[in-house]
Amino acid sequence: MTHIAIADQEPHLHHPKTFIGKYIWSQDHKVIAIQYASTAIFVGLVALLLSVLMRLQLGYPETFEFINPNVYLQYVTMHGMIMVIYLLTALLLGGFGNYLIPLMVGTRDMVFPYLNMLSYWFYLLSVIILMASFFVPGGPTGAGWTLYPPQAITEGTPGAGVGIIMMLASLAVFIVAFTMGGLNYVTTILQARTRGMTLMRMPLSIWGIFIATVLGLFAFPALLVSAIMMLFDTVVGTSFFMPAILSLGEPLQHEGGSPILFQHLFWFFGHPEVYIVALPAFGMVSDVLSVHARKNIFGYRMMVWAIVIIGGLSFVVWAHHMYVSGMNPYFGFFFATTTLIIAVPTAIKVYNWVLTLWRGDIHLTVPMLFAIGFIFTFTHGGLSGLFLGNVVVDLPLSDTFFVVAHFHMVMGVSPIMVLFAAIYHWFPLISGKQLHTGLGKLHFWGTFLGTYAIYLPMHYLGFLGVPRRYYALGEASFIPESAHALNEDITIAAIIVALFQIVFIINVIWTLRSGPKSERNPWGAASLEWQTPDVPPKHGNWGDELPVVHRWAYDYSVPGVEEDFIPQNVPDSEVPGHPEHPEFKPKDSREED
Amino acid sequence: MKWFGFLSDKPWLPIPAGSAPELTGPAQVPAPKIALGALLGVISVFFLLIFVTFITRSQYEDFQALAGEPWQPFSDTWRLWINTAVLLAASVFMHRAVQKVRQNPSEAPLGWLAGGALAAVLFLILQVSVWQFLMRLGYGVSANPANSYFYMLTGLHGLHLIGGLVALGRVFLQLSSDRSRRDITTAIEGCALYWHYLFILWLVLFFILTRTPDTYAFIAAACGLG
Amino acid sequence: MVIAVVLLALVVFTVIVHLASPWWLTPLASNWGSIDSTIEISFWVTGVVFVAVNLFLAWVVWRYRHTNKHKAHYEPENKPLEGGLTLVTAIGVAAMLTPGLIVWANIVNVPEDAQVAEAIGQQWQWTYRFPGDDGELGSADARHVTVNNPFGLNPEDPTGQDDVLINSHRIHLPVDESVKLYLRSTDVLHNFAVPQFRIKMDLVPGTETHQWFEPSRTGTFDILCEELCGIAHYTMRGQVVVEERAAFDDWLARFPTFAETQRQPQIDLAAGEQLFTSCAGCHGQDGAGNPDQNAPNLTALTPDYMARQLRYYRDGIRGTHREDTAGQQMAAIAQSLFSGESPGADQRNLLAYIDQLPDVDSPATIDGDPKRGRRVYEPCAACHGVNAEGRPMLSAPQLAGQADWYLRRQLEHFSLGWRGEHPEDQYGTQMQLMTRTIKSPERLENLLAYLSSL
Repeated sequence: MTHIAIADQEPHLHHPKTFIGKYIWSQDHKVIAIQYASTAIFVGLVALLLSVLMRLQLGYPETFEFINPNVYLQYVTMHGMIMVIYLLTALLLGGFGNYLIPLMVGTRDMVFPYLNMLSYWFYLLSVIILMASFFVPGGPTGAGWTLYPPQAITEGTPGAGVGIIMMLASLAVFIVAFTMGGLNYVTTILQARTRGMTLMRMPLSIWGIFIATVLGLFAFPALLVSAIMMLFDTVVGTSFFMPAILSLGEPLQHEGGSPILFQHLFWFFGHPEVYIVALPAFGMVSDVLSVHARKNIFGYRMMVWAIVIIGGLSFVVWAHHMYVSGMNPYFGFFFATTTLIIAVPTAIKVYNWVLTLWRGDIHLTVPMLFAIGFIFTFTHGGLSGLFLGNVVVDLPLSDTFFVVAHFHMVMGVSPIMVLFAAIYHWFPLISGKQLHTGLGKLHFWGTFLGTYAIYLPMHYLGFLGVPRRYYALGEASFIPESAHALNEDITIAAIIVALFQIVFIINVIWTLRSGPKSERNPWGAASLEWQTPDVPPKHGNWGDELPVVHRWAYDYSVPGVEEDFIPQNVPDSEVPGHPEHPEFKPKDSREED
Repeated sequence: MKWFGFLSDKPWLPIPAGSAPELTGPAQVPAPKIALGALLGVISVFFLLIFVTFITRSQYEDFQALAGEPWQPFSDTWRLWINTAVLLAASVFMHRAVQKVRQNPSEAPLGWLAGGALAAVLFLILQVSVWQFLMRLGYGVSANPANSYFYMLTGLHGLHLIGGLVALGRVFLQLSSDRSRRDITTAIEGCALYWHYLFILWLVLFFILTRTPDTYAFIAAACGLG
Repeated sequence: MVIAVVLLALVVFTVIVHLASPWWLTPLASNWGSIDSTIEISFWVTGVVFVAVNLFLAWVVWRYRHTNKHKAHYEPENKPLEGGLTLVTAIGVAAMLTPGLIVWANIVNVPEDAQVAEAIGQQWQWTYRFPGDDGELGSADARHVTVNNPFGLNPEDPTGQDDVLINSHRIHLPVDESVKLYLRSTDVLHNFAVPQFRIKMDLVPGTETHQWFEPSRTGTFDILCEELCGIAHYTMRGQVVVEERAAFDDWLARFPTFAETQRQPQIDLAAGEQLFTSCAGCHGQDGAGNPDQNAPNLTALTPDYMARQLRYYRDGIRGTHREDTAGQQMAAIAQSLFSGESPGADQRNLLAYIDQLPDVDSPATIDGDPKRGRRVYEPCAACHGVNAEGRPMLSAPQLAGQADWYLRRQLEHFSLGWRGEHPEDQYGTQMQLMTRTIKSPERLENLLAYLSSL
């Protein structure tokens, strides 16, 4: 088999000599991935802290002096926005996307390394603007992460002056960063795959990241449009979204605008955003399940199709967030139908994950535990989505804690279970060291059981009708005393979950400093990223020769073959036990389709 | 259709004799072309969404189109036609640059590129003068949504053109260093494509921004946005 | 191994929590039982899937855990199995969607004979409007809103003149009659939600939305705003009182029509001055109040605010708590105050006289740190103004210049539930909730020191 010499299809790799060139102004996708991931995890911890503060207020509404209604709404808003955009999107695509794409498709770097570097620096700039808004007069915006006008830019909302402008500016910069990264990911996957890596041989992680990036490229413009138009409304005084209204009794100069127009734009971005987060998670969890069950992913083609179909459908369901927004009620028929249809491909994915484990050889490693935990939490969160997607059921439940519980199960806890699975799974590749298993299991149990203790009861607060985004419930005839007690319990569970994350941080720091060196491919994974000549891979990833791919990424436990996995870059003739192997002695014939 | 073909591949089966994906990489379309194609797609979605909001907003009662009655600024659009001609010239210069570099890759078509850049700059200056013209007539940014959209859309179009000029500036820098000629050809082709795209986008903007209320009502009805 | 047991336990736990949960939909009070039925169906379908998938998962994890004795099965896909599961899922989805869409059709189609009413939202209170005899609501717009026309009705529109304006957070509705409730906002997005009625809808400024329902039992139900509408969102409460038709008619008859609210009556300041002599004993000749007599500074208050408080005192809405001695005193005075032939005119004259008295600043009597108090005041500023000057359009009284000992007492009374507890007290719930943001006596003193410094 011929290998390709470097010169053939090499991008111009920029090999820096200095420390700053290597680790700060780096154009190496792996360094950029780590920069993205560390920044995202840092802001994620800020958002985690904000959520604890929020829970303190909800659990003990009359205790904490520094939490007034202003700062409470600011916590709510910043927690939501950071988690959805600056943590999940950035970590899944900027972090894992950046790290895995070149390694998994067998190239030396992204096709535009310089643009990739710029992408990170723009992302960092957006984070700095966002964090700076905590320190401006009036503080950050407290309009809720949905930033609905008119309230987002009128006086009765915290941060309606400088805070909202900084938020919109930060989002605009983030979108520029995402577009630079996204063009890179898409082009790299389409154009820079190594020989033999057909699209249908790509691991599902890459499929998930690929479709999510495409969704992002076409959905983020909607957010950018709404941000720009709202900036015009608040800075220049135009009336795109602003009708003639009063603000705290004073008439404003706006006239004729439509707040619902903003909601359409926002959710045209906002719903695909759910899948921008979910699809990479779907992909990565598929790979983790397959590796640790020593079994090919069940129904690979169906999994790819489901990703593509979900991605397509995600653009025609947005108004299910707007059933009670005052839009034309006849839209409800259409959007309820499309929303429930999307449940079918999603359910297929769940079945196939479980069927991957079925008749597998399940190693209950830490990544596997998180992956199994994901199946459970995602099933729960996905099913509660069927309530909210069905327009009439949404009426009593929308804007209550049921919604909060649902989206935290489905796009908070579930992707984060996958992120942890992915971190534990790929940590040996990234650092050459394996995270401590005992601490990992402790972290898993605390996170898995703790989050369920938070969100299962929260659904029932929603059924009661407890509204979300309330600083304090006060007295309402339909809310029993026990609901307040339940809120306290949820707060305690939330604090416990937050504390368990310290276990994770300790594990990472301890492992990096003094953990033992890991094996090259400790899980026996078949996909390409584990087959680099050096672990962790060096700049350029593949040494002298790019790998050539001979099979899909899921040849685990192939009948007749001695090892329980065949790496993607090993040809049949080099597989002991394979009929094409020179020393092959037929025992029992391999099943042929 | 090709997509349906390979999406139904069964990657776990042995490769049938005669086809060996191991020997072929993916199609060798240059990466910048794929990326530029995707970027133009993204920009199109961006402007399309603004157009959708524009048509929706045009059906609210307070919307006063910039054309239709004789006293309105764009009932006579000669200024915009001049700008269109300038931008068309920029596009033509860029096209000539591509032809030149394809004929003779060893010689950089600096003159044509500079022409394309200067015409683009002139277009931007003329656009600003249109803004001043509107301001003088009292058509401020926030006075009416039609004005707001005019300033916003032309501003965003101008920003994209400035972005193009930055990219073109990088090409100039590359020409002064000794990179391989193939890169340069691709880069010039990319810039030219972007220039043509922005010209067509300008034509769309021109068309949409200067219609009469009746036309807006017709478009809105046709798109179901009324 | 453990994980399999835990998954099994979690499934059992979830089912038990669901079956035993005391937290469930509040008892229905409208015609929308069909929504509850759809929820029930959704629960059965999703519940079966949840239990089946996760029990199977638990079994699989236990059965196929790594043992060194078996190798994983090799099976890339299984089309009949995947196809079958897809079909079953599609049937389950259809079983939920179909009833959902049928019920939605009922929600979308408002019955022709529905009674019309309107709920108006503003930051952060509810008011209502009923059509007069013509059965039609007049046009309205935020641009028409003034202090004298808080509902923003179009003064030129003849159909609006007989509209009945309910300047209260409580709306009454007749039982067993369908209502088409129009929803209108004068400032930002709000949401009209009554959990017992099941349905809800946003109020969108610049346009009018609606919802319809038929209250099915009498009682009093809370209205919540469920669209984040600013800092006091959580205090934006109202109530629906569902009662028999006759009681409803009596209630509605007590409210003025739009035309009646627009009349400008004659003011007689001399008569007001005459009446004021009985107030001056406690509140002082200059109206500046007197701590020894528990009398607040009247010059800091607007006629609207005083009129509302006098009504509350008279009607037993304020000054009824047995610990509120000063309030009881004032309630007694208010009841005997206007004994003349036209009490309405007397009250107008008196309040007009007080209104033209020169403003007097009350001296500070409480030690506190005004700098820290400024931070405590932050959430109050939205309604009472950045300089505590009050916002008459929001019915929020001026706090700057008011006697600090009086403010302290009122804030304490609100937080203790001695004031604002009566269901008819329009801003009572709001103030009770807001005073809880003060949270400690030191912060209260700092707040009062800050207010005195303004």
